[in-house]
Amino acid sequence: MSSPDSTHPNFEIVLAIVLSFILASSLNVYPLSQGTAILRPMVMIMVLIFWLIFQPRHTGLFTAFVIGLIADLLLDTRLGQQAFAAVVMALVIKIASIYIKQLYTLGAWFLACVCLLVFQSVLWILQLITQNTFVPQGGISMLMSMACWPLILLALRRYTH
Amino acid sequence: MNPSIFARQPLSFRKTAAILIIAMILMWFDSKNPEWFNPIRSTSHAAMQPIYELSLWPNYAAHWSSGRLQSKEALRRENVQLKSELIHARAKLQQQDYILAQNARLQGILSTTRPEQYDLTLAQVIGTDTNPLKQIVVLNKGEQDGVKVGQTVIDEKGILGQVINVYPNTSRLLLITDELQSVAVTIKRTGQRAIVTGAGMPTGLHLNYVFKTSDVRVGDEVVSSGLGGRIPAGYAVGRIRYVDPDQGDNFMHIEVAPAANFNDNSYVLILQDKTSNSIQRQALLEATEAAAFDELPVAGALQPADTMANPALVNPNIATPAATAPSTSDTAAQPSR
Repeated sequence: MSSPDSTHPNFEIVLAIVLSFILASSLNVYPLSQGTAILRPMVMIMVLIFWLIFQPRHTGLFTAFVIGLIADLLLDTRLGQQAFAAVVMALVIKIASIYIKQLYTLGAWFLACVCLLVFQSVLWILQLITQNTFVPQGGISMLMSMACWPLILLALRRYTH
Repeated sequence: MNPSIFARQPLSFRKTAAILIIAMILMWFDSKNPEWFNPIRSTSHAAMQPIYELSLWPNYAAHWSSGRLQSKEALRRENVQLKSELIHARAKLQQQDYILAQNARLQGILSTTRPEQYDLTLAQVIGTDTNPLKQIVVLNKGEQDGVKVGQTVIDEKGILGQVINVYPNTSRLLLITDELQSVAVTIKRTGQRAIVTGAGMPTGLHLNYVFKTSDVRVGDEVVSSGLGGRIPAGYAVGRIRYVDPDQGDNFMHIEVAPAANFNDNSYVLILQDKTSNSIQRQALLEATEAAAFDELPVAGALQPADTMANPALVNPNIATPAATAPSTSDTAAQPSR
């Protein structure tokens, strides 16, 4: 089942979702020098936000949980940390969907920024509680993700309706 | 952009709470028993191989395009420079071979353990670990190239780290700058033993367990001592850049600047144990060179391996212990994860 105004067949959307996550995960492990790696945006989470906003009938809390677990495995973080943060972020999007009737580019970007902030904040809190560590570099990655999110919107714009 | 759609989905707090609880349970289990998840982590890292190999394509393309775009003049200059470096390296190697042969003979006389010898395998760094808490990189050589867990990896300047996971075509390298990694070292000038520990950053290491009364100066070179059997002796680890003797406890706070390049190293060397054939070839080569240089009696010089087992061949005054020189290469411990 696709979103109300969707003009794409189901299988095409599902294929696009799967392919976009595969590409995003490859970008997440793309070789970068140690210094540049700090600037690496959270591509998987950026793509997840896009699909949660624009294809909520195909992606939801469970998708967020699975993508979070995959990110945990790819990034070698404690299993469940990013999954937890991604589910909280998905919940924020779901709550926002109750109040927002129409979403334009700037509005979507703003919502994505809020989601990234929620995701990173939850991750920081979880790392502090469970591992007693604080990784400030995550903030740089979050800012880069916020700045780059319109690129995801541009790349996947045909699936916005 | 067209007005977008937020398809209204029912908000299920029960489902959300259940998923969050599952996530918390996973976190709890992972913190208490991380080994339970080792198989799934290994599988996921192995499954990432195609992604790593996909990531290599832009590198190949950049390499190919730079090769195509470089002018003949630039290539000629590079060729001349490389030839010059090769000649210098060979000249240095001549001296090194002589020193190696002499060292082997002296070790035979002193009845000490023969230093480990390794084959060097060139590998390329194809990825960095995206977790900023860990100092891990991925190499493009794996089990099929003879890479094993615990093997030491160096660059042209010093020690980089140890292999912690091996897959068919790739492997993961834990750098010595990681907080979990420690290296037994000696200070080259004084011979003092200590332990270097990673600081979690690519630019810094800490030198631990050096008493305040010890003679340590900024600029002292730190090399691996080989103690513990994990990392072979004699490889550069770094240079002391800061000494603070005013710390509260009995030990000094010492920072070490790493010798190896942890930021931009694209090619590295994996130290692999020599195969029996290559050891025999090397022993024969050393013996021949020793004989040529020193004109020693053939019985003593042609078989340095024998002199290790039986030093009396070289010096009859030395008693022959039953087994004085066990191979330390067999004792190399595997790092635990």
